[in-house]
Amino acid sequence: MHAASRLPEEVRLTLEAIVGSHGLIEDPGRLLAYEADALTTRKGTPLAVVLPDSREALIALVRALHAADLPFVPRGAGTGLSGGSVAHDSVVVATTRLRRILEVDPENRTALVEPGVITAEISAAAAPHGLRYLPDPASATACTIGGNVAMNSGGPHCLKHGVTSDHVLGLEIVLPDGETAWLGRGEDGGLDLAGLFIGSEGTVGIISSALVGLAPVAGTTRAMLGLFDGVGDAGAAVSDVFERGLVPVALELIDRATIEVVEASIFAAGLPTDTEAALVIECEGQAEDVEAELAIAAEACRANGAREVRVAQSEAERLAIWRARKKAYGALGRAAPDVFVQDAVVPRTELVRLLPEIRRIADSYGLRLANFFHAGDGNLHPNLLFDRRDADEVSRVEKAGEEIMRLCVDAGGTITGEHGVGSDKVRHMPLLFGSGELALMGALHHAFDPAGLANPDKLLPVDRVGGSAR
Amino acid sequence: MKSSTLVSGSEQELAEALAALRTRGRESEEAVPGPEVVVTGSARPDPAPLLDSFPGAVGSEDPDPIVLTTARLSEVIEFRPRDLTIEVGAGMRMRELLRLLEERGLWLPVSGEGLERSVGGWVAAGSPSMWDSAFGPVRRQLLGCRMLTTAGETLNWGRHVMKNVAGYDLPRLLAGSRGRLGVLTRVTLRLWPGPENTSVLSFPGESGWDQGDFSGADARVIHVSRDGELREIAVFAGREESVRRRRAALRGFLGSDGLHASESVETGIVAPPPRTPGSAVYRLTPGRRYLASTLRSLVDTTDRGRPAIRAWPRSGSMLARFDTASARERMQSALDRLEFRWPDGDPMAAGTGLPVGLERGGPADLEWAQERRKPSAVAIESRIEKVFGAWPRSWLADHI
Ligand SMILES: Cc1cc2nc3c(=O)[nH]c(=O)nc-3n(C[C@H](O)[C@H](O)[C@H](O)COP(=O)(O)OP(=O)(O)OC[C@H]3O[C@@H](n4cnc5c(N)ncnc54)[C@H](O)[C@@H]3O)c2cc1C
Repeated sequence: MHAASRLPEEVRLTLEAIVGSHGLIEDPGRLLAYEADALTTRKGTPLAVVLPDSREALIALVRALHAADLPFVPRGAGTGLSGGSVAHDSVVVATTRLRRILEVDPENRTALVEPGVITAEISAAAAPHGLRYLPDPASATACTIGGNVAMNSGGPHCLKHGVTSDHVLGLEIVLPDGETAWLGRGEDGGLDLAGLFIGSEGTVGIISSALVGLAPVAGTTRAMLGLFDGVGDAGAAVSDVFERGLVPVALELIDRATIEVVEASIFAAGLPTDTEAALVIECEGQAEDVEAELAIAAEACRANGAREVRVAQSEAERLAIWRARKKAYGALGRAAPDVFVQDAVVPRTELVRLLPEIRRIADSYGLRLANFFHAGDGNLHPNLLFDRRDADEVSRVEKAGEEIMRLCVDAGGTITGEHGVGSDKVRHMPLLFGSGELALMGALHHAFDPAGLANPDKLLPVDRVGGSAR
Repeated sequence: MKSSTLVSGSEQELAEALAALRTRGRESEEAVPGPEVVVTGSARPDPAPLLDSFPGAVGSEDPDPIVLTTARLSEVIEFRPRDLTIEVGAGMRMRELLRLLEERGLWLPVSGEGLERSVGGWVAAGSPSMWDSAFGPVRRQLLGCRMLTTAGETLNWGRHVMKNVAGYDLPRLLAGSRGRLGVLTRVTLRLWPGPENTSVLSFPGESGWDQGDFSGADARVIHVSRDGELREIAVFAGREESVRRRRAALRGFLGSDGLHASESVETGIVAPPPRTPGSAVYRLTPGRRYLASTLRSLVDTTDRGRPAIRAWPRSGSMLARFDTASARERMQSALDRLEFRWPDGDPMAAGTGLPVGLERGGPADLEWAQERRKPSAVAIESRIEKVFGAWPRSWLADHI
């Protein structure tokens, strides 16, 4: 760590002229709030944080930074889990004041939103029209749509409905040189340009608005719990659900360690603390179909040794189950000072074998492990509990995390299904990609950010300016 | 009609051919443009007819274009039925793929048309279908692919997993890229449990049946014949009992007037009208809001200028086929008059002009469609093409 640098004076004046003094943060105390995202082990100190409150200001800022050759890091709400918005000696461009919903078009079933809009606010704005925005990251009440688009975020209900990229119809990008372009999905006969920029993690520019699709609120939605005495059995039931021809809207697994923590918190939902694993299965549609689908799911659970199947008897009960699931991460904060959440996806049938393996790895490093994840997609989230003040424990977490990652990749999986590469997983990229693939991605990056200004050191393990492998 | 050179073979052979082409292109950089390359999944021995119906090909000065076909890459690479994924050679026929899937009770959301096309062609064309609104478009089904770059280098993207955000999303970019960025040699697809029953209800006119998705139908299609006859088609897919119940409910709503129930999707919708040489097929994406007015402006063109149309109101897209040049001109001016707002990041600078993609047509069609594109998007696209060393005029010629 070298001494914190400061913003060159003439740049400071330019930035201040654009956002005013209230839109520029340089005070070291206030910068602390921007030193990390929700992955607390990766930190950096930005030179400054700028908070544009209009599209024009955003563009002017990017132009000014480009002219000054200063790197920048886009940032939404900072709920990312891969250290994607960590800034070292660069300027954080925070979108939190760009939070207008520009238009809800019920007839077209679209919403045009600024990047700083909180994800859940889109559904809230659409609700009066009987519509909703489908992707539902568990962080939806805090994270921004810009962050979701930048990460191609998922969520429990993305199993049936698809991830962020499946619900973005177009977006505007501010390229690192301040040029702007509206990108669609190839409906003009061209390439799916938005598709390439979704999930680009701020490395090719800043998303300044997005046009997202809305869908009707479901007629009937019901959830059930399958309770298992073995986590492997629960994993087997997951595959069986699909083999019975069912694609539920959500299929999540919560293990015992998680249930214990959640039940001891204010989010307690009456989940039995003596069960090794609970599956949360949700179906939606016409009432008769939902009824029939729940019966199929219940059968799949029982056939794989579920000791009990409980269907939520009321909307309140259903919502309590989801609150427990979605607040599990927060609740873990009570059990340990820090949580490191891994994010890997494996072919679904591998869950049976890998869940006990992951437990074994955590045990071998003497670490506490809690699992709650998007089982239907094979998207694992092993959570390792630790205390960042304990250097030895931190290093064991890093090693266990790495071992879990390799295990998943060897099983045909990938290193991230929704949290992104950020700064945390750059080192894992060569597990998945060869030099040719990395070089091509490096060249794509270079084509849009030749000066290497946009979110440096994220996503790609290459010296991006030169385009060569590190 | 031009002459052409057909290159068919293993992935290795195609790679070698590409590498050789690259050299030839380089040598002649100053004097003549590189040879034109057309990528196809067609198994036809004579590719020449392909070249007359694709703009990339017909517009060329090159008297001897190179046609690369993936037809021989037709094997199953890895089938994981329990994981709902399959990886196959890009040259496998859609019909063969669907047959393999059906044996295991699995399915891909494709409509019954174009089953003779290759899987790679289906992916690379990325054409809209009636299932888009319920299952997502082609790009959602593409989990990964293997490609040859224009220089003949092999690159692999994606895996047999349902979600993957490691690195840039190359599969999304390549789906619908029409063979311009390279040759897809293998594709890994997301599969779905096969519906127990698929059936359709087809009836004339607009009856407001789909308001608020009342019907419980899984897809909605509007079919307009060249005579201007407009039919609505409701498609149901799912568990036997569910399909029966939902269908009965819609029947009840509609009454029996003019109702023609058809048991199979194939007969109800799909059979594409016979193709006449020189006809053009446009993809129009007016969105839900402007779909009806776009449809009207096309159907209202009287007499022989009418296109045959298949529209998917739920996803706001349609394909329109024109058989004569004058019909096309009429459509073009109709579309130019249409009130349409292309949403834009800056609401004050909202663009106008309905997005129009060309599925199939001649050089004049391509030029017109290109001119309507937003210059800023075209500029972004050309940067990407440069990275891939994209062929200047290559075009996927698979789906005819
Ligand atoms: C409790 C909890 C639960 C979570 N659950 C889920 C879940 O279920 N599914 C899931 O996918 N994720 C989940 N996450 C992760 C996180 O919420 C998502 O990655 C989210 O999309 C981040 O949004 P953000 O606004 O906080 O972005 P940030 O963390 O601020 O930034 C994330 C990345 O996006 C870039 N970025 C942000 N805004 C822009 C922009 N406008 N233009 C370009 N780049 C930009 C940043 O540079 C950074 O690389 C969870 C996180 C927490 C803490």
